[in-house]
Amino acid sequence: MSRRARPVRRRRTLASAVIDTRGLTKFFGPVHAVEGLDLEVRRGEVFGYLGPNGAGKTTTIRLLLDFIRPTAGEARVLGGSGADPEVRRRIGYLPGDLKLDARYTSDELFSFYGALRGNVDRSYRDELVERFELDPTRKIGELSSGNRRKVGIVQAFLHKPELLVLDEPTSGLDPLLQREFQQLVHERATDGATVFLSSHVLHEVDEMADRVAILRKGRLVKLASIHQLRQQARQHIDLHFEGKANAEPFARVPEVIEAHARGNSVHLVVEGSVERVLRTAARLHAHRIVSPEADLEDVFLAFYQDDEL
Amino acid sequence: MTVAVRYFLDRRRSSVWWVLGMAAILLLSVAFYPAFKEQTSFEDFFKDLPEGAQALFGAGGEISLTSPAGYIHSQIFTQVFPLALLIFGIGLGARAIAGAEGDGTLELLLANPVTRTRVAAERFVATAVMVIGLGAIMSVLLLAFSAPFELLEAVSIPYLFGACAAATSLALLHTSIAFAVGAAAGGRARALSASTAVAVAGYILFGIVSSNVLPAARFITPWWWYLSRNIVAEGFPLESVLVPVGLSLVLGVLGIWRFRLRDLH
Repeated sequence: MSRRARPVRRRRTLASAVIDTRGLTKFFGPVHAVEGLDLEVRRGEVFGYLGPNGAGKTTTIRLLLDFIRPTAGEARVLGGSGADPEVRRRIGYLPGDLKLDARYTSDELFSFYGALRGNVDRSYRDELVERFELDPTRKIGELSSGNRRKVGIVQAFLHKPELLVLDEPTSGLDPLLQREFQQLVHERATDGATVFLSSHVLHEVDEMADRVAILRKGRLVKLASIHQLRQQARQHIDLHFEGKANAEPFARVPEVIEAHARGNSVHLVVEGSVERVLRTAARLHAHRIVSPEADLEDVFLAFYQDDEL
Repeated sequence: MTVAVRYFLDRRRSSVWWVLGMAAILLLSVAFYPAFKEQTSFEDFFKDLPEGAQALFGAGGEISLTSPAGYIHSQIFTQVFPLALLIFGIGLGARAIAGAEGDGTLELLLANPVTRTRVAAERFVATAVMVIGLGAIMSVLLLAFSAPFELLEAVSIPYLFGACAAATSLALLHTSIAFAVGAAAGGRARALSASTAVAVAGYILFGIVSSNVLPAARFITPWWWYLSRNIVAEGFPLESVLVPVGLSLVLGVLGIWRFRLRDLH
């Protein structure tokens, strides 16, 4: 793209972007936590922000909320700066490393934050407390870590924010509550809220997210819809034969990444079309084919590992 | 003032304990006076010490240690009164920003629609009010406890309150150092040690300048402003309050200003 064309494109997309970073960079001394990050999260989408631990996810979030300042580049949130209280009033934030004042009851915490935000609907607060089965009169210091996590979730959703920034939201929640949480995210998204969801594991977001960004060593390595990722997913195929199996003919097929023979069966990992694999299998008289559902986790892990990406 | 009010409420329980503890210590300190005033040997003991050491213990000068004003100065205003307020204030000052940052609660607070300036300013005000409040309560307690133990004979009550105000101002200054270091650089331990170091160094320097060594340096130690004379007996110099309070304000503003610019830890 030419240099001249770029600003025009930006101006058009800025209006609809809820999070918009340009060359966002943060160094901590010699550590390049985030480098040259261009990210655009659209209004109303659920955006998965993925990467292994230490990839720079939390650093990005802390930059968005103005807890730390960029070394270079800029981040705009809801059309303004994360430093602006009026912007923060429209954000709900759940930190990954959640620390709450142990002396507060969750009621006190919600009242305090509610007073600061000034737009909390009391009945919605009660509804959330009930849904997550919190005892609002107990001191947070006496709660289990799972229950503390729930307090963190409720405070983030309390004021029905336009943008939810959720860092590793379901870590420490049991499956039932994970479902409740997913339901809540879905409701808010249906209401038009934008959700920025960070995680180091794909399955935490793949049911909720529309698009995902994959971050590795502070750089964006992939930006795609969940649908696109699924299409890219490598397929695992097991072929069974009458006699002893031979992996050699399959290894010559371009789409085959891995081929192992064991006894009467061959195990294949295929990327792309399976057409030539099936032709080969037919030629060799395979009599049984087993293929587990394409595993997104594999696609995802590939981005974590492959250096050339 | 939502942030400040919340901060008061957070500290209400520990503040009550501080008041109770101070009441007990002050009561104990004044209760010894009737027995102490008969003992001339204390007087003789301090007379043999070098001038600087005498000043550190609130002895020396024209005022007898066994007089009410001498006793209050040496036993209360050189010891428990400023010391307790300093410990209380330095702890609070270091906690206000650096402590909350260290325990991780500051970040979630700052995710709310509040500016850093507002959070820091409200917490600074709340901290100062708590130090001044404890100083005021201790002043009233001291006055109340002194009467039954013959300590108010020939003592000017306005001067007594003046000494209390000067001690509180000294504590406020060190509170502000702890606050400002914590806000500007982060790290509760750093804030605590910086302000404690200033307090100890200032106290030692006060001992040195009181021996007429380095007389020019006397004005740089906050303890000189406060302890260079027996305020209860000799009157209340306004600068013993104005200088530390003024410096506290400057430190508070500097701390808040730096806090706005830096990364949170």
